[in-house]
Amino acid sequence: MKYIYWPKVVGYDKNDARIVIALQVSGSDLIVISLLTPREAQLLHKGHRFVRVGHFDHNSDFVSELDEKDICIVEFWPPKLNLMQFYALEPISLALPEKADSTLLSRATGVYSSPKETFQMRESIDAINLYYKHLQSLRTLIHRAGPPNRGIPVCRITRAAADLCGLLPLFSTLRQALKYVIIFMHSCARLLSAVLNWTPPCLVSFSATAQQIDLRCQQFCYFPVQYLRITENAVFNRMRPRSELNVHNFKEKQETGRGSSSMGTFPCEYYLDYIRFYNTIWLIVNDVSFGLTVGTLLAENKLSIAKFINFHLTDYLFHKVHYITAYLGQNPLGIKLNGELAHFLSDLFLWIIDFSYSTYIKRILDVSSIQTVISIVSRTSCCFGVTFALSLAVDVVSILSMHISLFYYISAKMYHWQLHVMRSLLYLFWGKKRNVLRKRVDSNMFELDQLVMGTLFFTVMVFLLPTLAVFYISFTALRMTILIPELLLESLMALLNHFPLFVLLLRLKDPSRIPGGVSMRVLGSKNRFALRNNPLTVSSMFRPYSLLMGMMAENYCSVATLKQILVGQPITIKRYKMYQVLYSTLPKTPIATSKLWEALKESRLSQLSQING
Amino acid sequence: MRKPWQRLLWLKQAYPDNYTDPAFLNEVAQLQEALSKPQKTSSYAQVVIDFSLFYHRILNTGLMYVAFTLLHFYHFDPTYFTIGLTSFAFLIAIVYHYITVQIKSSLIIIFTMLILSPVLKSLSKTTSSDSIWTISCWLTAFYVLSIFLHTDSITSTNILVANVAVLASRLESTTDVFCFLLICIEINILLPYVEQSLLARNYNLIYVISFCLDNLIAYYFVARCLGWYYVFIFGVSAITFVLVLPRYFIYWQRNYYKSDPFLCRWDAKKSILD
Repeated sequence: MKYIYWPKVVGYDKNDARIVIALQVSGSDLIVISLLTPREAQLLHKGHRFVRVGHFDHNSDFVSELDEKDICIVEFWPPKLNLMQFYALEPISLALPEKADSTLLSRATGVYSSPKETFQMRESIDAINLYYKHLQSLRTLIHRAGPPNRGIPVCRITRAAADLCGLLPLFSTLRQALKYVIIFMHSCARLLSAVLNWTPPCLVSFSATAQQIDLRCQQFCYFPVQYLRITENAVFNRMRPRSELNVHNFKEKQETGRGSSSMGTFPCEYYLDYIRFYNTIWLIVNDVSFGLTVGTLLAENKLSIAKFINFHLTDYLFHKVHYITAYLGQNPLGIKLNGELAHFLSDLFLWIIDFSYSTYIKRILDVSSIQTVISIVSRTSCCFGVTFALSLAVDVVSILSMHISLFYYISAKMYHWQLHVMRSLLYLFWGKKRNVLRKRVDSNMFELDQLVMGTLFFTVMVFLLPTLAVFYISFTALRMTILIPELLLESLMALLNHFPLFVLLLRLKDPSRIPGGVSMRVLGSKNRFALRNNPLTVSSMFRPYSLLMGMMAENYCSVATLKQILVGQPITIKRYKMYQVLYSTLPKTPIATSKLWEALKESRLSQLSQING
Repeated sequence: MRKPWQRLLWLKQAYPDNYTDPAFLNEVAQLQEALSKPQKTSSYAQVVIDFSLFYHRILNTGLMYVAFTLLHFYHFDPTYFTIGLTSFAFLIAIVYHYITVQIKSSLIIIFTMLILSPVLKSLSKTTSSDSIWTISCWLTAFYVLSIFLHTDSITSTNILVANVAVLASRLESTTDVFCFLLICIEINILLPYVEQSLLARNYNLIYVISFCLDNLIAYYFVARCLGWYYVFIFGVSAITFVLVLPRYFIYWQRNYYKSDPFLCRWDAKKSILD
């Protein structure tokens, strides 16, 4: 069985071009490139990679001239590389390859990380993607071999370059200056990101604002790299067909080195960078425009918002918490707690509430200071986007609810200690003892004094447990309630920061730019198929989000979490770790400034060479 | 390969009804011999002694309630009594050159209790008395059960201490709590130790005296508090327990208990309750 890939643009027409010429590359199927007249076909040498595979007879039917009679024709629409269309066997990955291969994503999605196998279909698809290049190459070959051809585009380019000559020094100065600015800003962003990620304090894991700044810094560090890749790709695209030199090069490459090495760096690999780059830019622009709206709204209604916040937050963060804590100290719901301990704990927590209220909550929640905060938030929102405003809001809420977190941690610690001690004493109660060396529980004969002491303490603990448990449960509930608005705001931030907007719109506008695999459809007659591009599914575009949702569910409402709550282990939010899933379009570590510098220098050379023709 | 035959009627087996297992034929001679011998039983006196030992432990537990009632309802000042009892305990330990608990650990226990007694007193103050009586009742039941299952296990000691700690919250003052703890530990932990050592050394007379003394105290107290009617009930049940139950035990042993291994395996089964 022989497959012939037939582009839909090639068909029998009125001309006398009837000879079907196909590309034959080792490892791939035949790909029909064009129809030629018999005279043109004569010019092709034997043993060339363009071979004659058949012709059209008088009834406009294709007659194969191949040895093998069993042939199968697969029709396809040739992808236009300059419109960034291409075919791919596997769904393209919106995440960076290094991130897509990273354990988390592949573990969650079962994506294979094995190197791509090479087989005939893949080679054919690679050749199909370069269809127009091959077509150009064929034409130049014929024109070169044949009579004098049309005007050479190289002349035009040199002329244009000569026109530009006057402006060239200015351009190069500007380019130099821009390069220094970029390098300076890149190093600043990199430094800032490094400071924010500096462990031990590791600001990004505490503060949403730090996280947001870090995200923007990382994105900014990555922009030049992405931009260089895209422009290089564009240069690569434009250069080849126009000058014959490049066709030579290309041909030589094809014939000597070939193969996957030169084809491995396909232009279409950089289309993903294009998608990622413009997605990020678009999101940032969106963010800023939302930010302007929100910022203006905030600034206009400053007073009423401040009054509202003042009333409600004071009520919820101070009065209600105060009331609940005081209530816990007086046999809540008729549960008979240990009076002394309950009073002590209640007094302790009340003291912390009063202290934190009088030191900072009162000052922050003052109407005038809220107005200041709102104006800061609105300005930030106008300048840097609504995500910054949101992150500031998240941070303010977490600072204001610090006393509740503190209660939660204190009560969780006490509860956990108590459970731990009780477990050891329970072993003693049954005459057993934990063997640390063998990690098991052994029987042990205790002395009478050990026994009596242990049992007395155990009894005391058993009677004190309900009191501590009541405090622990109430503060856990309070803390969870505080976490919900924070989570909502953070999810909103995550949406604004990482929404795959560009890809979604591409899906609507031109699905062949985001291939998610290919499919074959049987056409009416026998042995005729159509190759079709399956666009990327929406679910795969939102895979990072579904992963994040899964992680959130695991972190906040799972049996493991419930167990953790029951044994009193404090639940910490690994916020930064979680949102890392969404950083799939960013490299793990920003590129070093020196490397960028080298890349910029090289790019200047390549671009200059392009201008000079 | 057939499944081996089992001596179970309710099991459907692939054997004829009149099947005789070869193992039975091998062991039939030994079975005849075992059947011809008279059934061995324990001696009545020994069983009575065992039962009375158990009764003694229960009586000791009862003494704890006696002490509690004296402190709680009759507001008895326990200081002198405790001092006397403790000195007596130390004296016995020295006289018999048999120090069950070392001086150091007894001091540790005493000081721990001294420290914890205010805590214990306030521990379950808010809990209603009914709950305390219920908890205490269940703990006592568990205590008796644990003594019954294992005579000197750690668990029984622990349950006893927990029970005492629960009861302590009902007392008036910290001193009362401390004294009550000390008395209970001496009565229920030290006294059984001493009594067992008496038995082990064949000081039977002293043991009998202490047993009678226990009974006397307990019944005198019941008579003072609840009246002779209760003394009668308690007495009758105690006598039934110590003297009549062993008879039934021996009867059961003679008729139903198969000590011989061949009898166990091949004897015709009889229902235990006629």
